[in-house]
Amino acid sequence: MIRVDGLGFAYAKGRPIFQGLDLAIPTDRRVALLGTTGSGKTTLVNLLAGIETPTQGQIERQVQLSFPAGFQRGFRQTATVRQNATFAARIYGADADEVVDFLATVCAMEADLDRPLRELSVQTRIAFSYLLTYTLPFDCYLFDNVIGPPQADVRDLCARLFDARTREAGAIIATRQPRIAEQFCDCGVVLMGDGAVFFDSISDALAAFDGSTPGTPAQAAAPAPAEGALAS
Amino acid sequence: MSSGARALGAQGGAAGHWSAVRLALRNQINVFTALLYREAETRHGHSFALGYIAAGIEPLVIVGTIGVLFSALSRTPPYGHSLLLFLGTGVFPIYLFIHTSLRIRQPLNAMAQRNRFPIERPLDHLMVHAVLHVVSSAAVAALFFLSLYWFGGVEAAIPYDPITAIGALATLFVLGLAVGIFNAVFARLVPVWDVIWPAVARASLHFSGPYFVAAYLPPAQRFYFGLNPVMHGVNWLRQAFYPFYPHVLSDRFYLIMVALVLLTLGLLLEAGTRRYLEEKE
Repeated sequence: MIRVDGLGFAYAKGRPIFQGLDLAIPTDRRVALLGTTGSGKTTLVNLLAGIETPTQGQIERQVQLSFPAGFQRGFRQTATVRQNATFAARIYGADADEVVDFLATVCAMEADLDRPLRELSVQTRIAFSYLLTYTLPFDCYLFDNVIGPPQADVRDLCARLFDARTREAGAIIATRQPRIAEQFCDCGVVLMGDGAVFFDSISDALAAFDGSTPGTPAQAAAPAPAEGALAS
Repeated sequence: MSSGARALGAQGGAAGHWSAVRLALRNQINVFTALLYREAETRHGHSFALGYIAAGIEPLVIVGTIGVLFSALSRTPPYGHSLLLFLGTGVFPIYLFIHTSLRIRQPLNAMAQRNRFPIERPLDHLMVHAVLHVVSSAAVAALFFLSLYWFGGVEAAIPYDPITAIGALATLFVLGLAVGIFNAVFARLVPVWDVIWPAVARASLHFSGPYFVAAYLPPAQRFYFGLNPVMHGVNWLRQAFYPFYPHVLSDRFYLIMVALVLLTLGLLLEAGTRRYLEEKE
């Protein structure tokens, strides 16, 4: 469970993106963070991950959250894949040997393990960062729009890893595409201008999301805007 | 808020807070040990051992040069029988202070947080830096004093009151931390301070009494030297080595107060200007 309490956030000299936001996000479910462009989805993910600090209010995390999948800023480019993975494993309290082993076998990174990051191709680095996110045992995984990189084989692997991980852990996916929300999530939080509302079922969330944005094509096979869904 | 959220077996109230605290503690330990390991294992440019021990060379060189100079001038040791011991008990604590205040700046610099995992906080890097620095400084100093004892036959080189010695050094270390944190934040506000402070710090060595006994100064001059908290720390340390060392200008309370006040100011300044600095950069 993540408790967001009176959260306020604004980038430097900008209009506030959040003001007095109160929210309780379950961390044992697959939650979609639905919002239009500019509604603050990425900002919220960054705030939850701890990359940004709130200007007001606080976030209480009762479980271990991941960094946003695909986060590369913590890597040292001069160090090898193995060294970076070992460091990441240690700071997040995982067994370094197991992590490296998993990357070598299941993620097929054996050949690149002892090469410095800066020698690898951009795609390999991106793939490594996503695979590392899945390899580390978090209680809840954060995603900003995508659950894996674009290359077909890695994306399939990531989809399988996502499935495997979310059997026991939670996931929070920020997205504005109903298709993705429906495919991967079972409940949702809809970010609207003046706050956020949690919906226990993804179809209710999508209905509310469609309802709040008249321009969004109704792709989700949602039931007709439910009578009770918007009442809360 | 949908009632579904509340029905989800959410950990409410005390139980939830407690697990958040336990998690934070566990993370703190993991991050600290992981950073410690990484610093110890890195081999790029300079390895950990070399970088930190190199810092210990500076006080040795100063002791050496002043020692040679005084001997050449045929001056008797200002106190006690061993010139080197007298110099060592002055220079090492002063350098503990100077190096601590200078090195503590690195983890706190502006862009550093951008290249870290979110779970790494500046305080973690600072603590690791501090621990490694203290350990390496202690190693070099211990080597110096033990050499004096074994090879120089200077019996007073082993402090007769180790507790007092540790107290003095610990307080000087805290003073170094306090000054360092304060300077780190101040330098982000006034960048030229980053250049001024190291020069001032190193020059302050001469005003901290390593090569003369401050108690023997005339009262007027004694007052001005007494304003320097490091001077008090040096005299405090010397009391642990020399049983009858004068207690003048060794006001422990003054040293401790300055350290704590500066530490508080530094932390408050850091917290208060955090947003302003983030935007500035």
